[in-house]
Amino acid sequence: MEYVLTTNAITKRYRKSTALDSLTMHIPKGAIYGFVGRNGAGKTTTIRVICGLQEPTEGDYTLYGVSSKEAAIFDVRKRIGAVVEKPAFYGDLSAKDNLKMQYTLLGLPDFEGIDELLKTVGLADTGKKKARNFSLGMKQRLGIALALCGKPDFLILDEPVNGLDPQGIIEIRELILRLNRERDLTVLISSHILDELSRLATHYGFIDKGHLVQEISAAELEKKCRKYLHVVVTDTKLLVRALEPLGIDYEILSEQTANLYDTISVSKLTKLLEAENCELISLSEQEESLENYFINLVGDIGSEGGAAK
Amino acid sequence: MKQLLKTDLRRYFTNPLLWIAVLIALLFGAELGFNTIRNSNTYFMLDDFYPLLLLFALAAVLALLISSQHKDGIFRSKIIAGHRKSTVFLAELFAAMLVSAMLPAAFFLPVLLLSGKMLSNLPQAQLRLGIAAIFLVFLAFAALYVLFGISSRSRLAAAACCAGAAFLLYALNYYCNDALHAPERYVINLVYTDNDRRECYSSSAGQTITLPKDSGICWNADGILVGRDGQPVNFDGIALEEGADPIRHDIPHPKYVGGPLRAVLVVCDSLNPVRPLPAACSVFHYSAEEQNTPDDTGDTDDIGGIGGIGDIGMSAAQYRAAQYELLRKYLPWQLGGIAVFSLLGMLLFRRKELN
Repeated sequence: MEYVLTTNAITKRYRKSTALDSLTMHIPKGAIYGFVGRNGAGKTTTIRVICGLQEPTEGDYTLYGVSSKEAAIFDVRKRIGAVVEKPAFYGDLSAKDNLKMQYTLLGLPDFEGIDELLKTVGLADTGKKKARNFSLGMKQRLGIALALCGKPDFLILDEPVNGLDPQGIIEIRELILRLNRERDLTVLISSHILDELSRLATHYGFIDKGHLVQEISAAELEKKCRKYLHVVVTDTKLLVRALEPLGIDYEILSEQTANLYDTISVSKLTKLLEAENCELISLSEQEESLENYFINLVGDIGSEGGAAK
Repeated sequence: MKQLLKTDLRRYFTNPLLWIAVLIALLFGAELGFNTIRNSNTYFMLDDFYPLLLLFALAAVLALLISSQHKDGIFRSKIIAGHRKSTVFLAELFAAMLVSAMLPAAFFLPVLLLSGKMLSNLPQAQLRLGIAAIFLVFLAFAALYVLFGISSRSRLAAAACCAGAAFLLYALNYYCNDALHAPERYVINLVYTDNDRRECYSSSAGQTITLPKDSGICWNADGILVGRDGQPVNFDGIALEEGADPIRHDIPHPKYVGGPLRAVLVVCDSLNPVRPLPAACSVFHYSAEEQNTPDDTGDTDDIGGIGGIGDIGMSAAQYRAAQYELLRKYLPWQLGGIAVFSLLGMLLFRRKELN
């Protein structure tokens, strides 16, 4: 698999704290990578390091196969666009003038594509309105437009939907999905709004206390978070004997509990268990949400002592 | 670098603050030029008040624009776009220096247009060096203002630091002038007349002054001559009494600064970008009377100038020549000062984490 970005045990220490602790992550080409973590987990610090705004204390990263320790990293960075925390723009210029400045900064030969870019992010009608007078959603969209100047291959968005209204969130989401689909744009989105990420991401990285605790694709996560029947019986060995002929996907959790992942009617299950002299004590339908998955994940890590200091 | 410079210069040139500052410079220059015409081209004096005010205007322009880039995350976006920090800083510095050079250029344009004919009577090499020195003063302040601008996200704080720095450096220049040019010791002559002890003050060695009987002037514990209110006294205008027999008494000069502090002051004074300004302005002093009596070392009011030309027994031409030599001596220090401020700014910016 081709990776756009690989970090190699990045550590970032400040005087009194450690923001990143041996963080290793892999972002596949063409993926929408959801970077999930609590407030203060290290998401923004990771993004700052990748974008060159901060130097790691230890470790390095590779962007398009170029190590961060090589001089060529500065040229490779031109292939990324990023919105880190709040969007950066000239407040006293209009959206179009801001994009012109960005084009000049990137050394682009002319201003072709600016109007189309404004249309893409929904800022085509702003005219001469100064950017400082934009709403929060418009500012976020301007930040994304600036990040898209020069047609980058890799877009980094740090909590892009923070402070947006539902309409704004939908618009940003649809924009990201469209860009990923049409331009094969690789996207790294950091967020703690899991519900929104679950509609977007093709891959996830869960970070806690500066350490990446798990990387997983959306397909694998879906398997883990799918609906299931949680059953409590008198003896799961007898349950297994009853289920085997049906070829049902199940997971034995203990001597008395199990999860059944395939659909089965309750009456049929009861009859099968009766035939094996096994009592059905309780049954409930459950579905693990991304939130629960995350909480269980970091909760488990936390209870085991965690990885970071 | 080219892209960064283009962006920065476009930023400056589209901001009305810069053009207001340029307009102020043009008006100052025009005022000076028209004053000359009003004087029937008989007199010209460049007061260092003009450059000082322009430096405050420059502080407003640079501090506001640079610190707002910091606050609005523009530096961040330049790094993300693939530029190195040192390149971002250098582009910022060069753009600031170019912009700062616009102010003395705008000032001298009307001056030379309106007073050029009169100024052509002065030695051209001195004028050229004077103009160059003033430009270098502005470049040095540009480097200093960039240093303050990149250090602060607050526009108000940056502007206050820049303006405050200009004011403090000006004050430092005057302080150093006194402290570093005062002799370590000077001679006091004691004169005894009529069995009353009279203390005498000598502004230069060998000159004896006798105090009036009821002057109330005496020595204090530090060996300084003071008046009734305990403040050091100035004896200008006291009549010389003949016939007295002086006893020379050598004491430390009250304004002299010695020891390690002197070394510190020497370095600060050398790097102070304001230091050449009075000398640079002095080479522009001209009067028609001087042309008629070139060796006259008389009344300073006729010639004007900083430091009182007549007091030190020089003609105007000799004084300008002396200031010209000072400017030549200061030139490497000016360039060194620009380099020091630029390097400090570069080091600070490179270490800064752009959050």
